[in-house]
Amino acid sequence: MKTSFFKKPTIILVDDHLIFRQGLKSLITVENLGKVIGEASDGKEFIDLLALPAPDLVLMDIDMPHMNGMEATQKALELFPNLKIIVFSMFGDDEYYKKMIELGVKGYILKSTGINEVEQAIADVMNGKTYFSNVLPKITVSKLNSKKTEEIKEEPKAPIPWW
Amino acid sequence: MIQSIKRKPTLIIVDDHLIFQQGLKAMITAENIATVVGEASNGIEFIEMLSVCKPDLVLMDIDMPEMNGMEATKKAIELIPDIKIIALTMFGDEEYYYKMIDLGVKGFILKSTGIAEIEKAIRDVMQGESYFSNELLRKIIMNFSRNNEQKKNDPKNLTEREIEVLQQICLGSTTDEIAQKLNISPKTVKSHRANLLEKTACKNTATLILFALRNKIIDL
Repeated sequence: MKTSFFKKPTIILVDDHLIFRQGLKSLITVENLGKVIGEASDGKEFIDLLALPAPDLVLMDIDMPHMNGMEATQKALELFPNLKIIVFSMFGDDEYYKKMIELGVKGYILKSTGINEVEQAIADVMNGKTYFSNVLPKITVSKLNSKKTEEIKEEPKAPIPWW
Repeated sequence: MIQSIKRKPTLIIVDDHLIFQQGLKAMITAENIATVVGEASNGIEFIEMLSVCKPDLVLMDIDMPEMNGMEATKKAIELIPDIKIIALTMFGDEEYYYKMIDLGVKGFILKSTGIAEIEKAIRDVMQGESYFSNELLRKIIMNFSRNNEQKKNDPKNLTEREIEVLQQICLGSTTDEIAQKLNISPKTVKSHRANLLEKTACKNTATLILFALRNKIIDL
């Protein structure tokens, strides 16, 4: 099968769990998805790294100490508006989904997906497209749905007269 | 240098984040630390796996859907009492530490530490020791000093010698090393150890170490 070609990007990994970073770096290297040129364990370290030549791509965790992924994304995009950021999220983070898209991230994937999806996301984003894990809309929709159902249950409205 | 040649341990990784699982497996394989014989994304999958393979070791996440790491640990130890489980934890899992240790996990590592520490933990646990990352012990102590008032075992019914033995156990000394340091026989060390377990109502060395920390018998 033919896959789209793109220059192997330079990447910065931002995640507070060293084991996760090391594992991801090793997968990215083995699968030849890009070149990891920097690692940061929180948003502050990451912003400091941006003083060096900017990477093509950032893989960004959300929940981190000192400065979280949201604040880091905002700062980074103020400095480099064209910076490509893909968010790595845990299930509990889907409240941030909308906010991160508004900030201008190019992709959003869940940590419960595998390296194949990471590869797809990197390829799409490097080709100028966006990549949003297709699990996400379902979560958002079902959340909104249940919220709506609750609202309906809680506030039954008087029937509107037909005229 | 001559190193003892040992069979590589077989290992199951249990974590709900596939990328984490895959990354950890890649590193463990690349560093030749163990043979990964299974991967599960929650407790139920893991327990099902145990009916087909019996691994030497399990790396276990705590917070997972369907069945979490605590329940999975409990079930696994019921099925295979000598299974060696190392918990992989995140900040915020503190409430589970004591429970997990009580259930019989052999080690605790924070996900914020790296593969070098995992390698060390696996080695120690395979040699029959327990392994707790220092960073974690520090957090446990902080936690305990905050809740110092509650459930306190009085360490005063321990003899001075028993406390000395306990301190050595916490430092990771072997029975022979303790015997040498305290100038007593290994047999005496073993009997002190048995007394310690009984007096403190601890099941194993791991709980004993926690007992010592909680009662400030040792300092980090």
